[in-house]
Amino acid sequence: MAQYSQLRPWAPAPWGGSFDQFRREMDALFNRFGGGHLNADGWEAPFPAVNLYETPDAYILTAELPGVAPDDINVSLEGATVTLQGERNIDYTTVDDATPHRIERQSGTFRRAFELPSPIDGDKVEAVHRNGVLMLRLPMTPEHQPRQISVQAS
Amino acid sequence: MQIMEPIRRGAGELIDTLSEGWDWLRSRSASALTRFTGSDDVDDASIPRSVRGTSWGLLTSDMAETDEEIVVRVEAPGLDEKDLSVVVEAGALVVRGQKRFEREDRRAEYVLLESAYGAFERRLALPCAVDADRAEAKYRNGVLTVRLPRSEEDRRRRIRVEAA
Repeated sequence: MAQYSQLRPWAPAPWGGSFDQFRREMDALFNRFGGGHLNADGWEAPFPAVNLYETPDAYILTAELPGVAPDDINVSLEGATVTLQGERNIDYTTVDDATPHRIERQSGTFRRAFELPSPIDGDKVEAVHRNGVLMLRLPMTPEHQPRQISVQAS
Repeated sequence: MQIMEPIRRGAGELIDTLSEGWDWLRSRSASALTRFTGSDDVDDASIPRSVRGTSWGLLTSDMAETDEEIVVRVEAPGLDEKDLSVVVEAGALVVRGQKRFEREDRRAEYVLLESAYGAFERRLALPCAVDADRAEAKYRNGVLTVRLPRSEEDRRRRIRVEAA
């Protein structure tokens, strides 16, 4: 017996997907870039793209910085705020008298700051740079690590 | 439809039907904005949902030409060379790859997730015929650089202008 609550109006799916899929993709698009400015050529998104996650004793921050030399990246920590800044210098002429044909990569300075929920032990920060990705391990100060409080029967 | 309004305002184009919407999305993959398709059937429920479906990333590129070759650079950080494939197909350079989601600590909770993960493809139209057999591709510091020698008949030749 068909369950009528599950019947949906049929809609053509030109790309082999359903409206739900289309809407999910548009949501993903706006979530990722919606905060940025949309211009005729594309989307401006914050640079660098950052992932930040929290483990029980540290924050891990990864930043995608393709084409930026590690020396050109400046990481600073003030209390619970970590700031990533630097400059990207793209050499548009890879060979002498090359005619640039199509340029999407932009040079310039970048700066992003993140206020973390708890202070960081500045002495124990580790930074690794590989394949254009900078990874920072920012350990929380010991007094801010979650502590188990044992419950004792009285 | 509510989702169409921001597109209509922002894109400055009229998207009245679903198929126009799809075309708009698909045309975006001819530019830096690229669709990454994650695998939907990932079992691990602790992997963020946004990584499992479709996500969007920027694979910005530049292209320069000399008399001898075309040089293309594409920014694709966080990949291993084995996850990258570069081919010349129908007059275009096609870069395909797979960006894997890795996480060192399973207890991690995400505060921000801006990177895109999964399979992607970026096509860049080439301005002339190239000799793919002699092409070279290098991946360094998150940038893929491809040097494509022009094919013999498409070499740029300077024509000297002489006073008559």
